Amino acid sequence: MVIQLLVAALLTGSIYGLIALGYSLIYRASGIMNLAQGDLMCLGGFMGYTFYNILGLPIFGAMLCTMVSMFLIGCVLERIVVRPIFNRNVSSSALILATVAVSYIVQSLELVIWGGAPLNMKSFLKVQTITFLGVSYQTESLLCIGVALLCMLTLHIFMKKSSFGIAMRAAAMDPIAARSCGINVDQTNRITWAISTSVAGLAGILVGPLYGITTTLGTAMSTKGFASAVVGGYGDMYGALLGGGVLAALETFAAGYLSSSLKQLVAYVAVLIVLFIKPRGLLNVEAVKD
Amino acid sequence: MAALLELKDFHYSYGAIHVLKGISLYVNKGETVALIGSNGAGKTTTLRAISGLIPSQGMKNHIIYDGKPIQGKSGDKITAMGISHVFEGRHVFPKLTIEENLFTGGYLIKNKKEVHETIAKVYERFPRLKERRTQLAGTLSGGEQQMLAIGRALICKPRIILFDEPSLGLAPLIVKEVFKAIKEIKAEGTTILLVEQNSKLALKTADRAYVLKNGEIALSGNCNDLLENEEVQKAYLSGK
Repeated sequence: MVIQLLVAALLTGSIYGLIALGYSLIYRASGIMNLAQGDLMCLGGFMGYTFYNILGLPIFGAMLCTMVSMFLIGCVLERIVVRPIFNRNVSSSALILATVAVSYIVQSLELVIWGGAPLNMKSFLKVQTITFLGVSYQTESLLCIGVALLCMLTLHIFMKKSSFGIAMRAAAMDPIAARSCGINVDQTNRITWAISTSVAGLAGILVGPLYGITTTLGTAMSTKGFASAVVGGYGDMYGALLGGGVLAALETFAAGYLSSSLKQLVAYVAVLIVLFIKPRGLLNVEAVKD
Repeated sequence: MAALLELKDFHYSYGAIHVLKGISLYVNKGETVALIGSNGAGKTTTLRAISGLIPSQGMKNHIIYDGKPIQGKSGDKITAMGISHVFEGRHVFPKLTIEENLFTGGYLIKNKKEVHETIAKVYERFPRLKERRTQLAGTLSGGEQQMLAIGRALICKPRIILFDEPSLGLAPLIVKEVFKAIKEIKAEGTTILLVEQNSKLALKTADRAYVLKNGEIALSGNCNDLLENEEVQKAYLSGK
């Protein structure tokens, strides 16, 4: 049972991690919480459903199309909502409220376009389970974990090795110095929003086989993603992934060994304990912008 | 000779506060010009206005660079034109490594091989940076950060470098080292505009200088003359 629970935890954890990643990247770049993160994830799920179930694209094609569409939506969001408010130099609460507004608008649009009934993704693979060393695994879960890890690895390489990735990190640390290095900070911020939205969209597809896709899922996932980001160390990319894994493991193992009605209780008491012991999160990230 | 950089009756206001009240100054190609004056005289604002790092709403009149007005352009565009800025307080990227900091300085250069060659030259100039290339910049001492900030400004091969208080908060020995580097950069032909609260050091480094007082140019001239000037001696050089 341990191994099955571990796979389940990895799957949930990679979804939480992907949402948390968006929280942290945006916090670093724009200094705010993007509370639309969960609903953008749902939008990705609906798009994935459209590309995969309705248009019949192969699963990897559907994932790619969803990520590209969500990337563009992230760009638009930054350009028409975030940037105009940010440029007014108002308090960050105005910007956070704007993201709340976006989350409700996205939710309503989903309701209009895809309706209120939960949608179920077709299964991603023909072979449902494989057995390895006497333990059987759901192939779909393994695929989703693999895709999530690949996405994280790609992002890691992009942020560490590419000139633009390094510039994005520099701009998030010190926008003025970044500008004086010739970095167009508006552009790096826009791409940050786009990547965060795109990654949340991928989480939306991966969530499909797990929970089905509904408009109400966003709010719950938003909280999970936020909790993961903070537990890991708010603003840190790797902390977000770690936090997602830890939160998911707590939930999954509590559900597996105790009772599923206790899983939230156990997980969030543990979250509080982390906050008491390491208020800056597991990776000890400074809460202030540096 | 036409000036490389020129401010013509330039004004700057932060909202209702009139910080620069009509500054006129020029820097010729290859020259090192110092801008001295007490705290709050407007030295940093002058540099930041040139670099496009403060809101353009407060600007009035022209900043001419290479014959064209540049006031109000964004900071990244101004860097692209060949103006580099070494900040007061250094402003290195604390969570990037030294190498990444330098690499970021070459963001605008498409040919990354060229960037790495220039980084190698910076390492020759500051061997200590090379030893610590994989260390995060935030872990460096103040002097090392200043060297990194200077190195970063050199990567994009600027035509003019604006130095803002390079000696601030550094131990005397380190200040000596930093100014040795500035003099070398000067000797290599790069144009420099130097803001420095240590007036004596500034006047000994530069060719010409302007004295800024309450947002206006109070005095200007050759550094040697200013070093002899009684008013300057009394106000800015005593005790230093």
